[in-house]
Amino acid sequence: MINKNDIKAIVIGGSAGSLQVLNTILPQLPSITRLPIIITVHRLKHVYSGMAESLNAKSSLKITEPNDKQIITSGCIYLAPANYHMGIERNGTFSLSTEELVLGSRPSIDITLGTCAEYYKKNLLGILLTGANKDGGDGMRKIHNQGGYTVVQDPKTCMIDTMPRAALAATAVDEILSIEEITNLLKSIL
Amino acid sequence: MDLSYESYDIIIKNLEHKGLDWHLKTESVYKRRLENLFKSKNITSVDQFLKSLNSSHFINEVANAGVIENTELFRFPDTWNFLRSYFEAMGASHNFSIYLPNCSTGEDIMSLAIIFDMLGFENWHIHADVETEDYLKRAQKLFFDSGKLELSTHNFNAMFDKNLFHRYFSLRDRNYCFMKNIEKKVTYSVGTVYRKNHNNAFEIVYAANILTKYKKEAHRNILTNLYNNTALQGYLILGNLETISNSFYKSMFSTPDNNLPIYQKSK
Repeated sequence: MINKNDIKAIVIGGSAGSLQVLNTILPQLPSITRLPIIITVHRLKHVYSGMAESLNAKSSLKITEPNDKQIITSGCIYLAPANYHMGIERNGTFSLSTEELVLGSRPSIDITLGTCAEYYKKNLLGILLTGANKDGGDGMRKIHNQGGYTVVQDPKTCMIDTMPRAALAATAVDEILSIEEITNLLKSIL
Repeated sequence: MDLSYESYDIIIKNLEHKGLDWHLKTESVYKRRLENLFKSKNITSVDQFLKSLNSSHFINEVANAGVIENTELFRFPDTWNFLRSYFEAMGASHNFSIYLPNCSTGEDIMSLAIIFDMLGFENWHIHADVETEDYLKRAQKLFFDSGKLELSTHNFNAMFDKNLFHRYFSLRDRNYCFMKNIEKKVTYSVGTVYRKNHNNAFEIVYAANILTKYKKEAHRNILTNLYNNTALQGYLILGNLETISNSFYKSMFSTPDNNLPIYQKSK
């Protein structure tokens, strides 16, 4: 059972198809949040703009792509920029990196989830949404190993369920939830 | 193997004793590079890694594992379009001097060479620093002769007629090789950007995505060197999501276009 007061950050991963899910979830969240929400979604390498704008258009929350070494601030929503891996340093700043693709992607969900796990440890809620490859599975394992809380979108409700199934195979996921249940969980924490 | 930061700190100290200075590198990135090396070398403990450091060959492998290779022509086309327009405005008789710190695969050299060739300009020279001796040795082969480059054509096609791609690259063993006629235009040396000051003012310093590789503590030193290596009225080029946050250096540069990571040395 999640202890909502323990949660100091939320990290969400998904492949391109999860944009539709985010566009369902984010508009339902309160316009002011007490936590940072960090999102990595697979996206086209060469299309540098449009995704944050598209999410912003439907949500009252302000979604931004961080600069390198920017400090994470509570109440902000961050989206991994195109063609960069987005990680969290141990001093609580973002690091953007041009390293090799991971499982065919840059940004890599595993990198964001894994570095968030190391920084926030048991104070992290990790959510993995629909997705077409195994990226995110290892990141969820790291969140679990650091004592964080893990949630995957119910594979039955996924456009493609490879990503949540990879997490289920990699670690003991705390909850398997529908999109509506994920939304309600976030509303209750924020 | 997942490395803890405690283990990372121990490794970094030991690497420093062996002459490999990673203490200013962005920690999560270089921890990940070490984890990848552990995996590829089948190293299962920190002790095993530290024992391996007795071999100079292994230290060399660690140094090379730290080089972030990124083969992508014309990354951030808007920046390259700015440079193309600038070169065009300066004209064919102008002598262009360009510095590329922390070079790895040479895609930026190729991008510059292609622009100059498209413009029909001959008066240009690039000096590139590479991070390790191995990369220096590799430079000529890797950049121009290896047949091992895997290039994305997407950005090229965004800037030029796609039919021109094969003027610059030939396909060999499923990899692209760059044209060979620019070797005399490029010189190399080994250097780390936070230490290397060429005491030479280059008109263009192309340093995209270098700050991302270093901790914030190193940025002032890096910016000092980049500033010193940029000619007055010359341009310092950073990556799309890198900024000059240091207020002193911010005041020394102006920004010709607020949407681009391009800084013109004004003082």
